[in-house]
Amino acid sequence: MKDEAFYRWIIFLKKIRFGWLAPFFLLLKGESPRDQLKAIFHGVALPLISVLVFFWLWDLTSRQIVTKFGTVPGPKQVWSAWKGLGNEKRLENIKEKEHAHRVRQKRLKSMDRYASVLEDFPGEIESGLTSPAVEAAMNQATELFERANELMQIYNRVSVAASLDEAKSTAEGLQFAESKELAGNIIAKVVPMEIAYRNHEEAYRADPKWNTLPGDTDAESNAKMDLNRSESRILAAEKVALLIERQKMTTQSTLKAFSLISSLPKGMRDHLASSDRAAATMYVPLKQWYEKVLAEEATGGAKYKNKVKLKMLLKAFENKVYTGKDTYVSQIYTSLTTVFFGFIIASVIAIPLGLLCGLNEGINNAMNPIIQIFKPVSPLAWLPIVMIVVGAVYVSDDPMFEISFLNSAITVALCSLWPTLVNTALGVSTTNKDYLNVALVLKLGWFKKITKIIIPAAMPLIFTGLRLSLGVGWMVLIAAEMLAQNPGLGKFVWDMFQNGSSETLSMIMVAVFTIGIIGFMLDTIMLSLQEFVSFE
Amino acid sequence: MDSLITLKNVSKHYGQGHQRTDVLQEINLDIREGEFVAIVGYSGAGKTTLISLIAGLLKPSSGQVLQKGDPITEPDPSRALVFQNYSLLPWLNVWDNISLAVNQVFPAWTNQKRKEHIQRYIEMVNLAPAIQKRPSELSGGMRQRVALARALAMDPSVLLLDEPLGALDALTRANLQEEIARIWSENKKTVILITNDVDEGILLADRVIPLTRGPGATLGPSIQVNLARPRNRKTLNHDEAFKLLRQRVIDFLMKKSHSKHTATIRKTFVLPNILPDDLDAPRTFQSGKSNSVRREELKHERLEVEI
Repeated sequence: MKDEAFYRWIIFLKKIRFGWLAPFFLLLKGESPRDQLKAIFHGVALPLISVLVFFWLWDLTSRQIVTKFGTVPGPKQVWSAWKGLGNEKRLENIKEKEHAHRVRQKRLKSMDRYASVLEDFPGEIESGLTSPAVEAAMNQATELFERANELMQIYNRVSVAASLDEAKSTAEGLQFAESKELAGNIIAKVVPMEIAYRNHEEAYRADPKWNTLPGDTDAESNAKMDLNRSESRILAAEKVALLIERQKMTTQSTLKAFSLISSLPKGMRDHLASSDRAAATMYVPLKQWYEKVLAEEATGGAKYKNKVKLKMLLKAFENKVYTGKDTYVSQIYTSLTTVFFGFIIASVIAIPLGLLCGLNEGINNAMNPIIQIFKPVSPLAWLPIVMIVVGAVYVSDDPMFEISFLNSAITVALCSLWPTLVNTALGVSTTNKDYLNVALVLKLGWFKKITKIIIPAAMPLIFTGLRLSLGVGWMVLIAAEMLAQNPGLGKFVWDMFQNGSSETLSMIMVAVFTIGIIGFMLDTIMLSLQEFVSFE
Repeated sequence: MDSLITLKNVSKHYGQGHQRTDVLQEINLDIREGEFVAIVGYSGAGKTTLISLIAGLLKPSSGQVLQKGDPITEPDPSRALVFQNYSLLPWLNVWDNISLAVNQVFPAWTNQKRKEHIQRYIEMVNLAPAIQKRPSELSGGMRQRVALARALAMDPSVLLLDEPLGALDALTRANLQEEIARIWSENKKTVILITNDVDEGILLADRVIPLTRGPGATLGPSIQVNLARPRNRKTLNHDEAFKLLRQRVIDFLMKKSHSKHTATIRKTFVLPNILPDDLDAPRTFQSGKSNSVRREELKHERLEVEI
């Protein structure tokens, strides 16, 4: 069935809006070439010709108009402006690399010059282990270790005890409440084992593999297992404690090693200088030390003689991320994220609300005036309100989103809400009577009726609404970004306009084409999605 | 006699005041278990209203619709309905359309049992190769088979068929009629078939009941069809008993409504003294006048008067 797969491919192409490619495939297959050529002429050649004619007319007319920025740019100038934007991105990359290089050189230099201070590094700073999580882990491990020790002591006493009574009194003699409980547990478990031990004393001596000894009852073997388990816990706790000790020592010794930095191998030095993470591991203990020095000075203690050196070293290891200016690509990316964020907010509100309106005529009538009044409001009217409200409500020291991003996204949401809302309501309220009759005859419940009948039936219209919403959102976004100064395409256009250079018009036209092409792509994507949910 | 569905003095009208239209009046009907009843009537006579009343989609304006003595207040899967326009859910394929009904009606069954059940009914209507297809990919006849399979899979106590073959071409129609006859003979379900095709009613049903022309339609006397089954369309067309039955139904349907009185007014019209030109005759300049013949014809005009 190769043919079937081929035609499925053709149908798929049409569904994803690449139907203009289909005649080429059909032509390759040799299917009625006349029809295919005609389709190619209509689907590819004609649009191409019209675009070329447009460019030609544009080129012709643009030279005639002279503005304060020079003549209106033709296609060639716009193209070179576009290439210039590509170069800008490359330039930024080079700048970032240069920045990294500079930082590295500076660190290496500081290390050579000031590393001798590290010989004075105070031993009591347990650096690298200061985060709350590490502290909690350490405390837990220490506690475990102590408990394990206690357990060990009890175990030793019990196992050494010659008689049952002695074991009990040892345990009961313990002072701590918790230990008492522990001791009780141990006694309850160890006592049967003790008896067993005594009963098989000779056998133990003969055979060390007492686990497989005949005559062990279940209780005895359980007790042994428990004892084994507690032994292994003690061992684990000891291991943790050891690890902690070792880590403490490592940090100290690392810093000691750094004091001999000039004698370090070149690779290690380079790594320390160029990797931000490696630099951070140096920075944390140095900072603590520096703060300690400052604190001592404040309380009237002795002044540290190499304070300036230490400060310089500390500065060299500060985290220095490159924050260059936004490139055109990053501005496109910001615009896309903003529009999608706004679009998602709008959909999350509009679809359920539309569902409610479509299901209930009363709600629909109640909502209608609100929808009709707010639907035609321009984004330029919403934006100041959004800016003021967001500015008042969204106050945070460490905001998750930039305020300007939120302003634009919420404005987009407010404007793109309506098509989805209206279309969803329409789709739901015009559900075919026959489908509802099916629901009635089958006695579908309320929820099933909505999920199995009404929503699927309204799906094509819901998607029409979503497509319109995304289109509106994209259109509104540019205006919103211009005013909210969200670093996207709108701001790019505005900045270019304010720039007033000879390239201004070309740059803005590049932005116009970018906006148009992205809008077209978004629409195409939504159309093909719509194609997949429709059932006609 | 234990009847499954009973209609007692059922009337139905739409609208109020001067916009009121009476659709059905004084309907009395008794349908026994296992019976195949065909209700035959004109388009627009209120057949769909009648079946909707039985299905529970509509409530009667007066009178009672009963199922085993209990009044019907809402639709129920025990009265499965097959619509003229199929009412399949276009976003589901054949299997899912049927399984939606089966899952809803038999929630207690195991998945395996439901699967076998659906498979059985799909095979019964010969749709096994089209299981994965959506309604838009099926022909009208195939769609109606799916609708039939869905209704049958609900295992209803009565199957209501509302002009199920009305939208099909004559050949598909004949095929499906045979199929319905075969399926009924296998299941022996109670069936109420609404149709505007007298032949179809007689071919399929045990009993044919004509519905008079609306507004205010009512049921005529039921006509028992005692033809032996299986009935063969070809031989039936020459069968005297069949012809007689058909004549009776048609006579009743064609007969003027009992509530209407007709008067015949005789009137003589004298048609104008003109004959059209004979274009075949050889043309002469004088022929138009000299050859004309005077026509006098008697025309009767009939007038219906409603009292």
